[in-house]
Amino acid sequence: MTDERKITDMAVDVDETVSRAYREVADESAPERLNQAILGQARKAARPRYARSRAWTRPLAWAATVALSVAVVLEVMQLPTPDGVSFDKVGPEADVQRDAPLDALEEEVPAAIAPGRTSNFVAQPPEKSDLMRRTAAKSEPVFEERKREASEKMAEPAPAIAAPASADELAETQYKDRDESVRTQSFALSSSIAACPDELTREPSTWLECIVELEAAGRSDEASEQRRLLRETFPDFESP
Amino acid sequence: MVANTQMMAAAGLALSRATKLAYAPVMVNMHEQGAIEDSALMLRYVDGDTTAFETLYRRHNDGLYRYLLRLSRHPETAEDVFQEVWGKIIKARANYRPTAKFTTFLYRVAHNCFIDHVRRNKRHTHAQIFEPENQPDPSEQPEALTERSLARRRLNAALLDIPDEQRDVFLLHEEAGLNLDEIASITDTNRETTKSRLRYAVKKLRAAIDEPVETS
Repeated sequence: MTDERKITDMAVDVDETVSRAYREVADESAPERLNQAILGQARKAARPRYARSRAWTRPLAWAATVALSVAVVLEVMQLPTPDGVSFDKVGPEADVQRDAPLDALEEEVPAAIAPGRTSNFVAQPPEKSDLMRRTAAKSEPVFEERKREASEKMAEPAPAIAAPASADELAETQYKDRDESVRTQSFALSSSIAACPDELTREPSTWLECIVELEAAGRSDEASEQRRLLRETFPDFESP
Repeated sequence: MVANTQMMAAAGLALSRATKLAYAPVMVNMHEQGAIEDSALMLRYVDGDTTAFETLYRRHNDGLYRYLLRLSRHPETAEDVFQEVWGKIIKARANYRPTAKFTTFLYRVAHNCFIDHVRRNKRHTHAQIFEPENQPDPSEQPEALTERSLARRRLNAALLDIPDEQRDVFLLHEEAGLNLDEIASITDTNRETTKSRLRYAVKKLRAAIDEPVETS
């Protein structure tokens, strides 16, 4: 502000007589009830937001949260599994127990195999075997019956077959057994269809001889079937 | 001096580090003046110090009330607007920045609130006009009471006679202690207009004061 401006301002602004007169008459004060209301409003606004809420709401909220959590956990623990097992333990042990049925059978069945018979189960790593052993022990009451059944079943005398040295040999043996069975069945079938070899059925006379041999051998059904086929194949041939 | 130092230290205690850094000039000014400035008190209130607000409020409550009372000429209107002004100050505390004098900020809010109030309802124009002489001080002597009462009546009559704009400028000058530039910024006019309004107001009031006392 320049000096000239200051002087002008003073000339205009400062009229002590008027100012003093005004000061003498202007002695009103703000009502005390207004003062208290505004100061109260200021104090209320300055309080932290959480302190403004009722004091009991926060503990109540915590208590409700804890109660709900406990209720949900208890409810989940009492839920039955598909096998009818209830998880009365929580934590890692319960997780292991949940997988117990299959693991326990895997553990127990090879142990019950008759001596001398090789299992086709692949050897498990040590950790896995320990785990399975522990789970089997924990689930003992539940799977005792299955274990016993498996033991009884596997304790029966095994058929006297040569024990294959490996899983491949076992598979081959099984394949051979099955192949033999199939061959037996197909022989029975083919014998009913072709009791006479093809080379004999090319000529009616030789076919007839074959039929006679069958009749002579007591295979009358087959002989009748062959005779019918002979008539169908060679209708002009006069069979005796 | 020791008391001042302690007071200044107390003023700084409640302020957060960020606030102190942001408004360091205000704090420096406060230290220079040896008293807690309005802006520093407001900043302390922003930080949650309600006693700082009380100090600030007690400094300005009566002046602001008189400003509104004489501007509106109606006690109820003055009280409504007065409460609205402080309510706005409290609500806007988080956004308060000491870029100008707190008094300028306070009276700008008051001026705008009063204009809004007048626009909202015209009650103050129809209601009973404020009569300060109806409330004499019972402890005063009868002669002094008469002289004082007459002077009060003349001054108040003159204040009622002058236009609203001139009365507004005069009251801002007397009650808030603002200079022409600050009044111009509050009333949203230029400096010359403000100066002219103030000159006319003072001239009329001076004439009313100098008027010879009528003896009956």
